[in-house]
Amino acid sequence: MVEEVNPEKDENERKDEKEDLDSIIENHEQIYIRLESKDELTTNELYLKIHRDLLEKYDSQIEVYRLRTIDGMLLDYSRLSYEERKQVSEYLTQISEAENLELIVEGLNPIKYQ
Amino acid sequence: MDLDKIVIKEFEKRKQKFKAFDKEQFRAQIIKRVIEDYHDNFDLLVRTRKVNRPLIKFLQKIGEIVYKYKHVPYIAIKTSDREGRDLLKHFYEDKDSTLIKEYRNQINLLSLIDVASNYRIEPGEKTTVAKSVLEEELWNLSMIGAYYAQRVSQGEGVNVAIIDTGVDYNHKELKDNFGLNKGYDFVRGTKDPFDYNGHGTHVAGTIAGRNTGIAYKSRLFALRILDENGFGSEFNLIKALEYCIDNEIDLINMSLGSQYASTALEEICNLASKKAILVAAAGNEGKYLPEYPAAFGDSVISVAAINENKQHSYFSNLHETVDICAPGEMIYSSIPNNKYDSYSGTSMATPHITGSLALALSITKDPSFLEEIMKSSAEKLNQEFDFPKEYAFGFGLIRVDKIIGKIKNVAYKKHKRLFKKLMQL
Repeated sequence: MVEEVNPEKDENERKDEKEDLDSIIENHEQIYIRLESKDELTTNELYLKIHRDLLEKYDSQIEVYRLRTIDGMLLDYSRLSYEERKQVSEYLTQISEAENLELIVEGLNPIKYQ
Repeated sequence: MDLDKIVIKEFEKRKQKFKAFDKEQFRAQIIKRVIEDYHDNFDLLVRTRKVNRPLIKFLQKIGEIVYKYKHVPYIAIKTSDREGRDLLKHFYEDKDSTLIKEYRNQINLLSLIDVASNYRIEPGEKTTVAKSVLEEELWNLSMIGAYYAQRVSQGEGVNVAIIDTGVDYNHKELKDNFGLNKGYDFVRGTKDPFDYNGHGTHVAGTIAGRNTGIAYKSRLFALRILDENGFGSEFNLIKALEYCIDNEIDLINMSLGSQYASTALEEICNLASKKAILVAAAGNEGKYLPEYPAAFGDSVISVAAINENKQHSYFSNLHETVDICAPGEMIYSSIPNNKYDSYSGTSMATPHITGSLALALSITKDPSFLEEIMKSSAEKLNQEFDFPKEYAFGFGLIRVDKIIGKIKNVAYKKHKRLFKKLMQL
């Protein structure tokens, strides 16, 4: 059984999260996503589903990398348009809401040699 | 007698031998291998007492002057034509010739002519000649006590990952440090991590270069995440760290950074630090700024840069997370295609720490107390600032000779106890 991480999320909270997500999509071409749950099996299955669905839809336009050592996935959607990126984030939000899991999305930063 | 004293004594003996060797056998080598065999091209390093116009004109007769070193009194010359070699032949074989008499004043200004390290002679002798020149030149290795430490350890059995622009694994300084698996190119997604920038090869040269490096018997893995312009992203850095976790890497050098970091990067650094020692550059903005991954705290050793006078490098970031410092200005090391150059940056300071820890790890496979030993044996530096000096230097200048000395002492004490126990049985 999947544990509900944050069942009482109010509308304002959801609005803030949506704004955060929009800002990440706008400013980052690569992101890290994580589904928060105590049920590892379910999240593993969901990661596999996300991987499969995104590659099916965007093929080589998107790079999806499932991390093995820490929880989560890396997405490189730099070759997608802004609209397509928004579709990806909406898809991720839908999955997390359907499974009642918390979706963590973080923009990945550029680095350079020193 | 403690280890430091033994090492110093042996080193002094070796130095004496070099001097005797240089005078007699060195001259014979030049004549036999350079003059008689007439190689197509060879490079010379000429030590001068003073540089003036007539001397430059004379040297131009021997060959093309390709470089005048800034920090040592040497001039590099590329010889390719017969005329230059003939002049050298006179110089070495016929001291009474009119040609030599004509240039007597200029010749008197030269104290040594040495063959640069790409000259092909017997391995043992070549190493001795090349090293004697480079030892004077590589002030950075002397400053951290690397030559003393190398008498005890050369980094055997230690796996070092260089997360950077790739490495020229064919460079003569580095080719012995790579196995069949050379690492991975995360930018192009191939198993060939060749360096198209130069930065990663320079860093690798300081860690493990045969003449320019510290742990020259360590095994290297080049993980290319920065492109030919030196830019990359956390996306590939996280992947590279995952590679390190999977491939039994002991030390991870990250001469790179960003002022921003994701929790994903922090999390994977925490995890990787349980399996390897992570070393990263403190950053080159020259201000009070955190640079990640260096500024993550306990999981990563943050390295600042100093210059030849043990002064804080103007470009080196200031931060409370700085752990240690090392030479980072005008560092001479390898660059692609068998070339060498001097680079500056906290990137250049970082591999001094990685190389030093590789020497230490090679003799103690237990990394748990290594960071503490490194900090406690660091040389305290004094400079007036209007901020805490730890922000610039951390615990001070790394001294790998002292680290090795302390490890040996610990090992000796352990054995002493064991020996006493055995005697009681």
